[in-house]
Amino acid sequence: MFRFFRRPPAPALSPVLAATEALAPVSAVKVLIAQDVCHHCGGCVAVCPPDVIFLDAMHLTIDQDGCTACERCVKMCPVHALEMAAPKESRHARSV
Amino acid sequence: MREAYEVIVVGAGPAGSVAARRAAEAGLDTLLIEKRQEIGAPVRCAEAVGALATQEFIDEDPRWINARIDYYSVSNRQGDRVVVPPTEPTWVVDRKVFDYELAHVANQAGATVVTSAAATGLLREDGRASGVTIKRFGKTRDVKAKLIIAADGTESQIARWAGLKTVPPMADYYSGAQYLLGNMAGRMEPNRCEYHVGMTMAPGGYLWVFPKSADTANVGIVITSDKTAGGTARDYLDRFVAEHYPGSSILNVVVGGIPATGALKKMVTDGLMTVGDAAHQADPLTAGGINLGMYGADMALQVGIEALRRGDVSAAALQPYEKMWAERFGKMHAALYQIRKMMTQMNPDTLDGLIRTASTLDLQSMTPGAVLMTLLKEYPVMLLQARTLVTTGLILK
Ligand SMILES: Cc1cc2nc3c(=O)[nH]c(=O)nc-3n(C[C@H](O)[C@H](O)[C@H](O)COP(=O)(O)OP(=O)(O)OC[C@H]3O[C@@H](n4cnc5c(N)ncnc54)[C@H](O)[C@@H]3O)c2cc1C
Ligand code: SF4
Ligand code: SF4
Repeated sequence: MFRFFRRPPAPALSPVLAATEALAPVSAVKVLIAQDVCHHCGGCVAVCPPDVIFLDAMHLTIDQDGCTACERCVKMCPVHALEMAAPKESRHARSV
Repeated sequence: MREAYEVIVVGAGPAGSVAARRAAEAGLDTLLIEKRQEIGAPVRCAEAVGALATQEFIDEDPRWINARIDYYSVSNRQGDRVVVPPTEPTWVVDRKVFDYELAHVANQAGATVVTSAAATGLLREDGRASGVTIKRFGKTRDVKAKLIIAADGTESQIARWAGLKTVPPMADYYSGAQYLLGNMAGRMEPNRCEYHVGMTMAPGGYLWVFPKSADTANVGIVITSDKTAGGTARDYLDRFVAEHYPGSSILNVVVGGIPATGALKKMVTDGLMTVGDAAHQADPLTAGGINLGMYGADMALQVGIEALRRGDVSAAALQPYEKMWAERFGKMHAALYQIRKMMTQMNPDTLDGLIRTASTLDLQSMTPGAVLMTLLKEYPVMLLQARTLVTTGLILK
């Protein structure tokens, strides 16, 4: 018996994609979750192609390593609970 | 919870509870797990159901019937209103109590029900789905089963882990928001469900006002996920509420996503069947999925129980379920999908005009053909769409 992990191994990147990936600024967090805004509806989970979002009963987590920054979850979220993390500033975390 | 069951159902929504009940009624050792701590809550639904279909699965009960609907209306952006009786009696229900009762019935039939238990992984043996990893109160354990029913709703992850393709295109995935509004007396009819359409009000979707009591109503919206550049579902809802119901109180907020693709072509794989929203069985036009999900679960278990009896739960043995679904709902889903696409592409002014003209007709005394002819005379640009409507109309009968 073998276990099937939640996230299947990432497919090998095409050379071009791999190059862009390598050049892209390294940012651990790609999507920010405002947990207090999230209503735990699971919609973002449904539309995430690499399946890196998981909704526990009342807590949303994103495996940022597997996120491709496609923004589908951000666009789907009915309440603005998600946003793409800008390198420095973000709506939910800003310097004052 | 034990180490192995004959059937594990993941998700205690209407589809999962009906599946678990059918399995238990057939004498199968059944486990129904639900990740939330309370079945049915928080609600992710506008709560309207066709009463006849619902009664095939649960007896009428005033504890979960909030309103009885005698009329439907469709309004355009100017507020012209077409009023029609529903094709079947409609109820607005309390999903919290309704879902709980369905799970309770499954439990009474013999299924073990466990809440606060999330499936976090899938087990495979010899290439077939053979169990799930369950996380409960911080502890993780593997539980095996001969047959797994993925009823995990819109997330539809269990089927994905088994290799089925469940991720919808953004244009076919509804993003929804709803308020339970108070101070609604006099601003709606307590026996009428209202729809409001217009691409600028609800891009790709529509708004609704479903009465919950003499003074409260579910006021909500779905838009398609590809059309959120001008705002999210809740933004559009806020605009609608500010315009139509100023001064009303928001007693509850509901948020959710619904697949509007029509049912998945592949709903089974070795050892696993998908039902309800997880199988995209919701109506691809109205997003209604309660009854359809229960029908799906019922069909799946008819096939699944037989497969277990024969000791063969391979994809091939489970496929009659897909066929059964396609025969009963396939054409209807395709037709509703077409109507949605047609409305999305229609010029908003034309749609407004059609509703305005229809609102002046005495629909009760006219045949659908006569209605169509009258509308066509005023909007000849609709000729192409009319053909779709006629063919889909025929299918819907
Ligand atoms: C805003 C909105 C309005 C709607 N209005 C209507 C309407 O008026 N009429 C209508 O008929 N339909 C409506 N629908 C659609 C309807 O809610 C769904 O079609 C219906 O709930 C589908 O039932 P289901 O059993 O398939 O899934 P659900 O009811 O979603 O149940 C799935 C269950 O699985 C659980 N689950 C998910 N993942 C896991 C896991 N990993 N482990 C354990 N449990 C898990 C979830 O917590 C959930 O309880 C609406 C939906 C929305 C979002
Ligand atoms: S779509 Fe938005 S509200 Fe729904 S679970 Fe995801 S982040 Fe939360
Ligand atoms: S941006 Fe795309 S890949 Fe990243 S979490 Fe959102 S949907 Fe998933």
